[in-house]
Amino acid sequence: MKSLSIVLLVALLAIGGCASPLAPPSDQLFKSLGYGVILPIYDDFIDESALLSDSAAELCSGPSADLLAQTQDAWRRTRIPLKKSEAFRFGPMKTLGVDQAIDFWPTRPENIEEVVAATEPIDDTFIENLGTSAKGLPAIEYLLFDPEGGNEQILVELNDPATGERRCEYLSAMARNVEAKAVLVRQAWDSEDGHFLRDLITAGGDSDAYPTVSAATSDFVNSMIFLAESVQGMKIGGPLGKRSGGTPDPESAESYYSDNSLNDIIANLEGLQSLYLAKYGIEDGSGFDDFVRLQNPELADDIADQIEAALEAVRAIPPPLTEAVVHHAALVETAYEEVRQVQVLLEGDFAGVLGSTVTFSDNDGD
Amino acid sequence: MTATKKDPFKDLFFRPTDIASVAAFRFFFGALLFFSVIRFMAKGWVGQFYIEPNYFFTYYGFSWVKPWPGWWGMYLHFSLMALAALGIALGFYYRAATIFFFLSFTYVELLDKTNYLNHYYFVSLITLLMIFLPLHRAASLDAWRKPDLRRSTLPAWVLGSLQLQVGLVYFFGGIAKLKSDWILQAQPLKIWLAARPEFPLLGPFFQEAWVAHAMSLAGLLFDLSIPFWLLWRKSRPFAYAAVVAFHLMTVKLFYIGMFPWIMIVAAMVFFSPGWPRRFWPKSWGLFSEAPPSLNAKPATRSGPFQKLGFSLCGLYFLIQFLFPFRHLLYPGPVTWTEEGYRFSWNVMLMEKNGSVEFQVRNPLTNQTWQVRPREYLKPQQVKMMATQPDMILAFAHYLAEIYRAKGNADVEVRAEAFASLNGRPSQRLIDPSVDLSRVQDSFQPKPWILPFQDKGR
Repeated sequence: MKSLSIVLLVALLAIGGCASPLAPPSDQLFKSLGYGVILPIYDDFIDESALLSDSAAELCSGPSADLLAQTQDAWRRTRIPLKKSEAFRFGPMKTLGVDQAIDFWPTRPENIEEVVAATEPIDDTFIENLGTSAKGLPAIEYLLFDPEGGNEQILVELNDPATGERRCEYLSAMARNVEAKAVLVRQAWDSEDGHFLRDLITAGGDSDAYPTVSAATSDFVNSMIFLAESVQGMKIGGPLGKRSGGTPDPESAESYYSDNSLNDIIANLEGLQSLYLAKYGIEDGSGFDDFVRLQNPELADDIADQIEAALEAVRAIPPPLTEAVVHHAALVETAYEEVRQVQVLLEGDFAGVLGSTVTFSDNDGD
Repeated sequence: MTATKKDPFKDLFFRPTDIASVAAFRFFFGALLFFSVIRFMAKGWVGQFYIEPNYFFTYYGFSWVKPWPGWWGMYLHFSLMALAALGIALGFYYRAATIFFFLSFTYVELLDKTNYLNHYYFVSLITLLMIFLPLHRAASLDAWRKPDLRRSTLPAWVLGSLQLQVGLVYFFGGIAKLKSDWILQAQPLKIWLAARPEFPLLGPFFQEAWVAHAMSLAGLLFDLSIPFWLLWRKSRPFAYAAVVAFHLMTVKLFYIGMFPWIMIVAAMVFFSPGWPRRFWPKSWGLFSEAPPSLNAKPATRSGPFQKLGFSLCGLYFLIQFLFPFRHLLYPGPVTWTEEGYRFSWNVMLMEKNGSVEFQVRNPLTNQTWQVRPREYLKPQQVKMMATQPDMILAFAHYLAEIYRAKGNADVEVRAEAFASLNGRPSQRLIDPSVDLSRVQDSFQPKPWILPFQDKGR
């Protein structure tokens, strides 16, 4: 019996190989992602939304072509960190309802025009109480961009003696609301008023939100998968005609009015890449690639390479997307397939190697 | 005077055995069922899984099973099921309660493959068995209100059948682990343990590959041997301690809900038949009459209902032994094709994730649509369908119906499905060239499931 035990032990050691950790410390990963990627992106979102708010206020003091162009540019710049943050759209962004409040699309022009035509005074409280389809960056986009009439039409509307002032008040109030929401989310992540990042870092320990590390990684994984699926199926697939029998449907593109669709998608994928590699700006920390590398070095590189391939494919599409789906459909199709492969890798291999639960329910499983 | 001929068969199966342990089992198991149903309702799962979905993945031959209409229908169903569980626990109109519970619980399970769980299957089987086992003849309201029902013993096969049913779960759970992934690669434990660094005391060790190998081997040996250790009187206390420790560990490690508690209670059937008498005062009158003599002769006659029950039990267990092996009738690894996977005690056997999209095409107009399952299914359904070919086929048929209803007289539906098994790279699961809308489901092997390629990790 004793000799059998020894044989078994030796066999186990032989099969298991030398001690080799299967995963790096989770707190290190979450710290790296939190301080290196998530908080900086939210900080950028605050900065850009503040500039948007200032630009909108200046525009409304006297609408002009230059000020309109400046505000449009501020709007585009605000989109970048927001779209990057879609890679980790869980936590305060969701629980506080901010995602819907500032980024509801497709835009519903009728709801926006209804507000313009109403008489109730517009202030911050009024905006706060509005339905999600009548506020946020997509609603601001509708007031700033006109794909048919161009900037001239926008200036006509903003200078209209009957509704122009109200239209501008509405625009400015929405911009202030977006800035306020950006600050709210950032504070909820890490400040005196919020500690969601601490809950992530202490997952499996003192965390209020995550009883296990696996629950925390599942939130990241599901968010990343959802983003890849959304980019492929809706943001590219929709305009490409994948949902309309093969006939291109440019009006279904995100940021249709501003023709900012490709920039949005690129920012989405860059956010995904930043999160996966824990690399934002000049910061390069321990990311999911390091996490995966310990179990499967080849997979770690495959995912990184595929995200980069998807980015390159999207960057190769001549803007705007609304025209590319008609005139450069092959390039858009290539991007569609590359993003699909990102989704497959995330949903299958990535989720599998992390042992995370690709679901949104806590039902039992055996 | 001629000597009475010994009948070893009768001795084995019909020897009078103290009723106390099976009555206690009835109580604890019924109480657990009651708690489980209430828990299910409290967590909002009735609505989430049986009211909100627009589509249900019914089992082959059971497409006629539908949820009750309206939100109240299913809640009423579950409420009555809870009452039936209570009836089982208390032994109140026991047989009616057991029949009702079995039918109502199994009906719920038949509604949607998405929610298949091995321990739900176990509950259906046990309650089916219990219909034929007179577990209400002691420590029950039925025995209290109808003293004629009371017994102090039952034939040995009654307890034996419960022990065999519980033992089968472990044993076949072990048989299922006789796979190279589990034994040689320590998968999926390697993945699952690495994801739990915060586990008390052992968390840091879970990051080591050799620990996953050791635990895989231990789990295999545990499953294969524990029924026998539980049966042997000398090892029983230690074996049950191991059962409790094992299942408590799984409670901490995995999200498997009621399974550990069900097995901890179920394993009590291996205790000595008279064990409850030590804990309940005689004055309570739960178990009337003195404990049976150990040398009591087997009953020379058994009632017609008991004979029928015994015969049905025999057939039942024959099926139980054969059914888990049906996957051998199909080509390819069962973890990949999942043909014969359910109802075979493949418990916590794999980490499998998938991604599936569908292409619907109208061959007359050449219009094509890419369909994301999420547009029609709930998240849990999307997740489960992505790795199970029979569910992919069912959804393809559903999509065909939808698009025909939209005015497409003829449609083709194809699946772009990829799956990753136990840490391997994703590979195609379904032949993307096959029009699944024209494939009829059956028990025949499914040639449109692509062969598994054991690529490296």
